[in-house]
Amino acid sequence: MTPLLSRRQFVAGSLTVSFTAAALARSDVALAQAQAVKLPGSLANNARLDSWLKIGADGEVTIFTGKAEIGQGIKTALAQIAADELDVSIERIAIVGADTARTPEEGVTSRSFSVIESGSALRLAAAEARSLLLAKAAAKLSVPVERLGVTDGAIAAGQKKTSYWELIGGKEFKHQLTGTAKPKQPKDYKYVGHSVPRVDLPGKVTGKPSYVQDLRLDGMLHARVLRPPLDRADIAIDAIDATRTSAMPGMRKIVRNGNFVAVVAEREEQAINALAALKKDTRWRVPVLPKPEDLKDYLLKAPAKDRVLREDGDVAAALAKAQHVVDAKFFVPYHAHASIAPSCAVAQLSGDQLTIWTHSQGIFELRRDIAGVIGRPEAQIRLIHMEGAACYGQNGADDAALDAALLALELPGRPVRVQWMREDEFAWEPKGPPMVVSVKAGADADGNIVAWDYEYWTPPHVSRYGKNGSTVAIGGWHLERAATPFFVPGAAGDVFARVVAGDDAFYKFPNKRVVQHGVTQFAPLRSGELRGVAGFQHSFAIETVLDELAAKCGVDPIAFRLRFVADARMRDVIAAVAAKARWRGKPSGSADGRGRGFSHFFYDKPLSRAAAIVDIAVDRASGAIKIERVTAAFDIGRVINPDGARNQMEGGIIQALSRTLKEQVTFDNSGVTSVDWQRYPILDFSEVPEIDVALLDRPEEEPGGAGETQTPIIPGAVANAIFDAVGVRLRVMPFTPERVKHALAG
Amino acid sequence: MARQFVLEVNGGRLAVETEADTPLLYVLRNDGGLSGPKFGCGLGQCGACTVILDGAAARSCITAVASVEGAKITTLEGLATAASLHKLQQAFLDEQAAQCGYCTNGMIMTAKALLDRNPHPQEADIKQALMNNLCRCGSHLRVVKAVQRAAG
Repeated sequence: MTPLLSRRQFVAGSLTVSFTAAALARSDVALAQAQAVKLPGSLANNARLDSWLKIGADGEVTIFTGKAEIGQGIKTALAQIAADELDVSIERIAIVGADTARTPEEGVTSRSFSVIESGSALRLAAAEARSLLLAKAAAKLSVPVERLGVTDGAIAAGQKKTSYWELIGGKEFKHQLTGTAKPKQPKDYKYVGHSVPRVDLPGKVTGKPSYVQDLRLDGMLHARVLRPPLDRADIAIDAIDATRTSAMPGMRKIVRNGNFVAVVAEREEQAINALAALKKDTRWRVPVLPKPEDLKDYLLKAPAKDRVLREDGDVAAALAKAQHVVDAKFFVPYHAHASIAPSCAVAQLSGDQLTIWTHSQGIFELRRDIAGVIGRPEAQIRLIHMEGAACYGQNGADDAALDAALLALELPGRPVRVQWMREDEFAWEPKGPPMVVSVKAGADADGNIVAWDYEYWTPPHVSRYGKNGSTVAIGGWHLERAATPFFVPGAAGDVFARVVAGDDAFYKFPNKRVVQHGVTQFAPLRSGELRGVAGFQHSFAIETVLDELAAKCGVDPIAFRLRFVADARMRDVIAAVAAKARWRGKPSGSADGRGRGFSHFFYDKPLSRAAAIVDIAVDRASGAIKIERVTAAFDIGRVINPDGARNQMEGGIIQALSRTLKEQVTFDNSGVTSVDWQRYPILDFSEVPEIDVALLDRPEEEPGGAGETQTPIIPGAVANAIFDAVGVRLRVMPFTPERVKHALAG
Repeated sequence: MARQFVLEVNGGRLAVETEADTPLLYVLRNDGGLSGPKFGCGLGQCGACTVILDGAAARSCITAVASVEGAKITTLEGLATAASLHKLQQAFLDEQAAQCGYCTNGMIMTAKALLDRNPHPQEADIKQALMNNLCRCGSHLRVVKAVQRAAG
C-alpha cells in the first residue's frame, strides 16, 4: 500500500507548483519561521507593533489590516478581536484596510484565511500592546502590574489612575513583537463569539460613499475600454476607424496601444456613447472555439499535467469482484462570479507617483504585477483597497485596476475612472473553471466500499498574480509590448487534493486510485478561483456516487456515510444536521415527487466541516425543481461573530443552489453570450428556500474557514434529493427543467 | 444636443447640462454627488439603481433625464431625517440584512415603494415586489425579514 504523500511532499514531488500549493508552501515556510520566533499568522513578516495598531491621544484606537473587506465582514471581526485583547470598547476602534503605503502585507484575501491570518496577528499584537502599556502604567503609578485593572483603556489601581491615551497617545510603541503576551481565554471575551453588528452597514443603508465605485476626485475623467469579444490573448484588431468616435462630445482621448483601446471622456455617459460607436467601427480576428456542448470532450482531450494523487491496492480487481458498481461521469460548466457590480478602478498619475484605487483582493501582489507591465518601480506605485461588490473569488477587479493605470499614464494629473459595463464583467471576468469527473466505485454485498477509481479534468483554477513579464490583467495581454497571461498550468484546485486523494481522515476506502488532469491552458475561456474552489465540483461527484452506492446497497444514505467517516468532529456535524432536519433513516428513492438529499464535505486548508440536507419537490410535467428547505450544520472552530457566520452560510447556500440549478456561461465564436442577467439568470426571491443553519459551538478550537465551507455541500445534496424524488440521477449541471424532463424521459 | 435640465431630488433642486437621453443614474451620481443609487447593469435588470419617482420605484439606469423633469425624485439619501433613520434602514441594520451591501439601495427603495402603497404586505407580496432585484451574496431571507420588521 502506497502511503499518502503529505501535502508538502505532494507539492515538492510535482513539477509544477500550483499557486494554491505555492501559497501553502509559503505559509508553511512562514509557519516554520514563526515557530522559531513564536509569531503566527501574518506577524511573521510584519513584527513591528506599530504596523498593526496605533493609540491616539484622543482615545481612538486604529488597527491596520492587509486583508480586504469583500463583504465577508472581516473589518468587524478584526475590530472584535482587537477590542477584546486591548480591553477597549469596540466603538473606539477605527480600521485602516489594505493600502500598500499604510498596512502590513498579508497576501491575498482569499480561501477563508482572513480571520486566521490577520485575526491571529492582531490578537497577539493587541495582547502584547496591552501588556506593554500595563508595564508602563505599573512603573508610572509605582504599583505591581498584577494590581492594575483596565476598563475601556482606563487603567486603575485603587485611587491611582492613568490610561492608554495618557501613556502612549499619539506616540509609537517602537517595539518588535515577540509573541510572548498571553491572549485572553475564550470565556473572557466580550466581543469575540458574540454577534456584533457589522461596522460597515450603517453607511451602506444610508447611501454614504462606501465602494470604489463611489470615489469621486476633482477633475476625474471617465473611461471605457474596448475589449475583444473573448477573454483571450490570441486575438487582434482587424480594422478600426475612430473618426466618428473622436468627434463625439466630451471626448478627451482615444487611447490605442496595440490591441488595447479605450475612450476617455469628460462625462460618464459620453464615454459610454463613445465606446458604443467605436465598437461598431471595429472588427476583430478571433480564434475558433469549441462549441459549449463539446466542452466536456474538449477538456478530456486538452493538454494536461497528469498526476496520480493516490494508488492503493488493486482497483480493477476490486471493481471486478464488487457486488454493486457505479460508473459515472460528471460535468460542471463554466460559472461566472457574477458580482452584482461590474469592476471599477480609479487611477491618477501625480509627478512620477501613480495611485490606484481598486477592489483587488491582493494589492501588494497586484502592485508587483502592474509594475512589471508598465515598467515602473513598485516604489512609485501605490494601491489603495476600497470595497467593490462582493467578488467570491477572482472577478475583474485586478483587470480594471490595470486598465485605470494604463489610462492614467496617458493623461498625467487627471484621475481616470474605469467602470466596466455589465457585459464587460460577464465576458471578461475569469470564469469559475469547468470540471469533468469520472468515478467508478464498487461495494461488496455487505455494503462496504471496496473500490474507488476517481479521475478529474479541469483548467487552471489559479490565474493571479503575474511576475516576470506575465500579468493577471487582460489589458496587459493586448498591449503592443504584450505581457503574457499569467496562470498556473495544471493548477487543478489543489486545496482539495488531500480530501479527494482519499486521506483516510476524510474517506476511508481500500483499493483507491485518484488521478488529476490539470489542463495546462485556458480551455477555452479564461478561468480563475471561484468560491469553494474545486470543492463544489468534487463534492457533487463524490457525494452523488456515495448516495448511489447507498441506494444500491439498500442502506440509508447517512448511515452509509457513517461507516467510513472516522473524523469525530465530522460525525458530530452529520449528527447535528440529521437531528435538526428530523432525518428518518431509510433508503432513498421513494420517487413520489418529493425528495430529501444529504451531502457532507470537508473544506480543507483551513479545515472546516459541513453537512446539508435539502428538501425539494419536482414537478414531473415541467421538470421544475422547487427547493423547499435547506438544513445545514457546520463546525468552523471558534466562531468570532455567530451572526456574521450565519449570514455567510445562508448566502453561500443560496449562491450554491443558484449555480447548481441555473448557471452556465455560454459562448460562441462571437464571444461570451451570457452577458446579462437574462442570459445568466441567478436565483431570485421567489426561488429562495427556507434555510436552517446550526453552528456547532467549539470555543476552544482554532477558527477554521467560514466563507466557502458551505458551497461544496449543496450540489450533491440537490442531486440526491432529485433521485429521492423522481428516481433519476443528474450528472450534468445546471439542473434545468429541460434536463430533468430529459432524464425522466429516460 | 445638450441642454439644461432642472430636477427635484430629495426636496432640493439639481440643475444639470447634458443630453436628453442621459440616464438619470449618471446625473444623480456624477452631478448630484449621490452614492445611494448604484450602477449594476445599466439594463434595468438588477435593481441596484432604484430610485422613487413620484411614489413609484423606478430603474434610474434606463430612465432618461428628460423624462423626469418636474417629477419628485427620492434616493436612499432622502429617506432618513437628521434625527433618525427611516424604519426600513433601521430594520436592515436590525436584521443585518446585507453582506456586501451593493444591492441594498435597490432593496430598500423597492421596499419603500411597496410599503407606501401596501403598509402591511404578506411575505409573498414582499417577495413579489423584490422579484427583479438581484442579490448575489444571498441575503434574500434577511431582506424579507427586514421588510416585515419595518412593516411592523
